Amino acid sequence: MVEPVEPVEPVEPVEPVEPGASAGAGAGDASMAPEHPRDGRRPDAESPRSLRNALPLFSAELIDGMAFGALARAAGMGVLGSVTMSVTSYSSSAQYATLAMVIRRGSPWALLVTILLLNARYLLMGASVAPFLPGRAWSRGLRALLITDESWALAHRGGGRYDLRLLTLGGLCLFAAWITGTGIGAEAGGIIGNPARLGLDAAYPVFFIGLLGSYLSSRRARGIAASGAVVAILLDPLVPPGVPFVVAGLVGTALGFRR
Amino acid sequence: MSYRWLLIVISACASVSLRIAVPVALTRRDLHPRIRAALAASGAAIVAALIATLLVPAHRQELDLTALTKLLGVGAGTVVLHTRRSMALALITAAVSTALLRAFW
Repeated sequence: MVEPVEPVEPVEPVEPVEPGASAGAGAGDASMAPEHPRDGRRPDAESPRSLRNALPLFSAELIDGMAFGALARAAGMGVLGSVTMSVTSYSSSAQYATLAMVIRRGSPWALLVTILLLNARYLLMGASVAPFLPGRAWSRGLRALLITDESWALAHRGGGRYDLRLLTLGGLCLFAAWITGTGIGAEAGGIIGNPARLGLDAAYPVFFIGLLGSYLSSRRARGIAASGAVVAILLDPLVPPGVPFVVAGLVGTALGFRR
Repeated sequence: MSYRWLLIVISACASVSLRIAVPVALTRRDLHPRIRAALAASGAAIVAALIATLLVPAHRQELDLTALTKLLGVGAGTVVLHTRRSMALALITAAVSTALLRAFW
């Protein structure tokens, strides 16, 4: 069952959240979501519907996890090693890089540099979410572990605001799907065959296209998004994977900093 | 510790560090409003960059059947996204149409 996606209306700035206000709060703790400044609705009121809309994405994550698990098993990581990697790294790019390094018997230092380059965008994503994370440092850190490209984009509510409940719930669903898929793939091997035949690789761009709208609230924002796309397309063939996102993010930050 | 487990530990440490470093170190009070606005602007650029790299093959000469069917599937999903305004239906349309194209093309 699907429901229409309503456009995100422009919002007013949210007041700062007091540190410690909901330390240790679970995903369903309403205290971490400040009241809507205008009509009293909580900003996360749309979370369940948004989460339902992302259900196909969780299925795609499960299948992708299975593909990774099968490859990891074939690379000699074993079921335990494959699942441990998915639980502790929870990053497909870092995990595939690790597999490649295992197969080639590469240097651990090379792997470290590769992962730092691949995932440096998490620094920018973390910085954009950080102002909205309540509680003590360990609590913010735990929640930040659930940041992925998908959960971060899913949680965006326009105007640079983030829905923490959606970040947490979406992140946990994606986490569960990825780990479960890895376990099934590592255990059952090639039951899914070539995952490309399922067409799931086409779902991810559509997901991000659908969420891009919440960022494009002004002509300036559209210009920044276009700059990010151009930078990524130009750099992608020239630099290691992951770097185009970082450069695009830095360009966006620089353009956003200008008055 | 075996070589494989060493790499798993490195992967975990690097991935976790990148995710939590900034959220642990920063709170809202630490960031100047102008910096917050700049970071918010970076979101649009990163999402657009993700879309661009997912759609455009890194090596242009590799626009093969897989890439072409993906583009067509994404097109179908985007049409659904804008006409029906349903994310779930759009994702399913993109995946199914791509799978069908690959099966019968």
